Amino acid sequence: MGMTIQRLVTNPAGDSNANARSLHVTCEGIGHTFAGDRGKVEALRDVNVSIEANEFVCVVGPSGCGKSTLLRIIAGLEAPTAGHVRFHGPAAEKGAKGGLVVQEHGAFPWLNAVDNVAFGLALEGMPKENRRARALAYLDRVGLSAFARHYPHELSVGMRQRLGIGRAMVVDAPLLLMDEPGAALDAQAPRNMQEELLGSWAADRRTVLFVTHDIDEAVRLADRVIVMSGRPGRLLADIPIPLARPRDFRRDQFQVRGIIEDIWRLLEDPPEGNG
Amino acid sequence: MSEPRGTAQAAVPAAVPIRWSMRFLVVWVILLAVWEGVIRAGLHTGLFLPAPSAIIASLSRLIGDGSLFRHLALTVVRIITGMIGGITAGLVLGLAMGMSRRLRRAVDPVVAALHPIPRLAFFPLLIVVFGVGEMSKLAAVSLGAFFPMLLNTVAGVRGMNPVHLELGRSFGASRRQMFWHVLLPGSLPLMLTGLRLSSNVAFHATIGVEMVGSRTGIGSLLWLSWQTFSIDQLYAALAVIAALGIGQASLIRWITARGAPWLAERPAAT
Repeated sequence: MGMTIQRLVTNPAGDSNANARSLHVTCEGIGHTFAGDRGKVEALRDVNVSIEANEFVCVVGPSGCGKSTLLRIIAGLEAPTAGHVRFHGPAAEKGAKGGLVVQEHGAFPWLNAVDNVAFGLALEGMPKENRRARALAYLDRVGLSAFARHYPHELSVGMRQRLGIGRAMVVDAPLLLMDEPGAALDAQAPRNMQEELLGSWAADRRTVLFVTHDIDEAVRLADRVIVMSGRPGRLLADIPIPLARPRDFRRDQFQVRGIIEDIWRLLEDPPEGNG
Repeated sequence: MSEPRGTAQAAVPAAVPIRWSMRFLVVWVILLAVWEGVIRAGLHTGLFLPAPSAIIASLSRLIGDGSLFRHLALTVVRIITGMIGGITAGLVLGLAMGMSRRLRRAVDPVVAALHPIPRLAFFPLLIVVFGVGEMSKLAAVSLGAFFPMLLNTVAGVRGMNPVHLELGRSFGASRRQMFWHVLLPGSLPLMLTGLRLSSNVAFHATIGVEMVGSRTGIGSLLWLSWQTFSIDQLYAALAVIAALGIGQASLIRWITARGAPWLAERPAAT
């Protein structure tokens, strides 16, 4: 696996579509209230976020802070009860289409790896042979060409995640929306997955919104970390991460530690009057 | 044994069915030999336990005069026709009920009341409605096959993983595409379970209605054997029914493996 990442990082595939795919997302005054059986629950309050084109943004916060709801709203799976999401730039028309990457159950179990990646192409009506050929090329980009005929249950968690990334890339999704609960993983896995993820991203840059509750992970991966408060989810801070790319986890460790400390302090003692 | 992560259910030894059929053969050859020996030695001369050689003689007589093939063909046709009717109806209504909450709420009470009634208990009513001919038998078999397919299809659609539905929607799939590309394959595993259970019930119902209300088919041959006190033939008919059941179960297993290759083979419960 290490070999694959190296190749992806040092030899980013040239891509003429990079500009056409450029997408800038703004969330303006997003609020969301769920009407449940036991009354109303306010999940999000007045969230204003801007994600620049080709930027990698992580959202962190305590569980129940509405970060996954925010992602689902941007994905168009949920309509916010206040505010709106706007897409700008050449790929505004496409918006969030095809960009959802979910860690748990994020691959269709009835399709093998090629057909999982080719899912969006099948919906577009591309003939089977053509879409398999294209999907295979993208499977190669995420380092899974040896597993084309494997079904998701035969792949590791990290491989399934890359399958999701490949599936988004093949339809030229300008925005990757990644929901990563991370809780289901053993201790060793996340580090590998982070490397794999950064490798795939570097090969084919695009705008990424990555939701996690792992602050450490967020700082390692992101250009910017957005910190949210507990329910109702509000924006606490927007922290730029000034680490050079490609990231080197060993080299960055002290700087990363400092930033993590700052974020912890923020979460333990949230500033008032921010909502 | 160290396995790569995430491949826990990948390996299903292909040799299992062959080994199993070997064991099946060995056990039965021994059993029949002992059985035959006991009777030849004069240890048992009871009426209810004819020698295997007598049963085989009866079986070859049935094959020789063509009556076995005639009965068997009719039974198979009834099972298949009944299954097609019941499974199609169960599948269509099950999909509709799975997708429409309103329909589900309206039909659920009817299903809940009819489902527990043993299938054969409907047969007298079906004879009243359809007459004593072939139609009432097919209706009884269809009705038997209908319920397991219906219930499992509804469960399959309802049990869809919501993440897969959302992934489909995130790709902008139309309603039609959601059905064909996500909902149908996503609920296929339980539909195949429905198929297996339906085929069992159809098989049982066919033998049942043939015993009760038919002069043709393996079930009627079985019934006739007791009425004419041909015990050899009764055993022969039972053996044929067993073989038919095994053949049908294997066929369904094969269809399931073909239909859903992503599912690791599970032990068949019947």
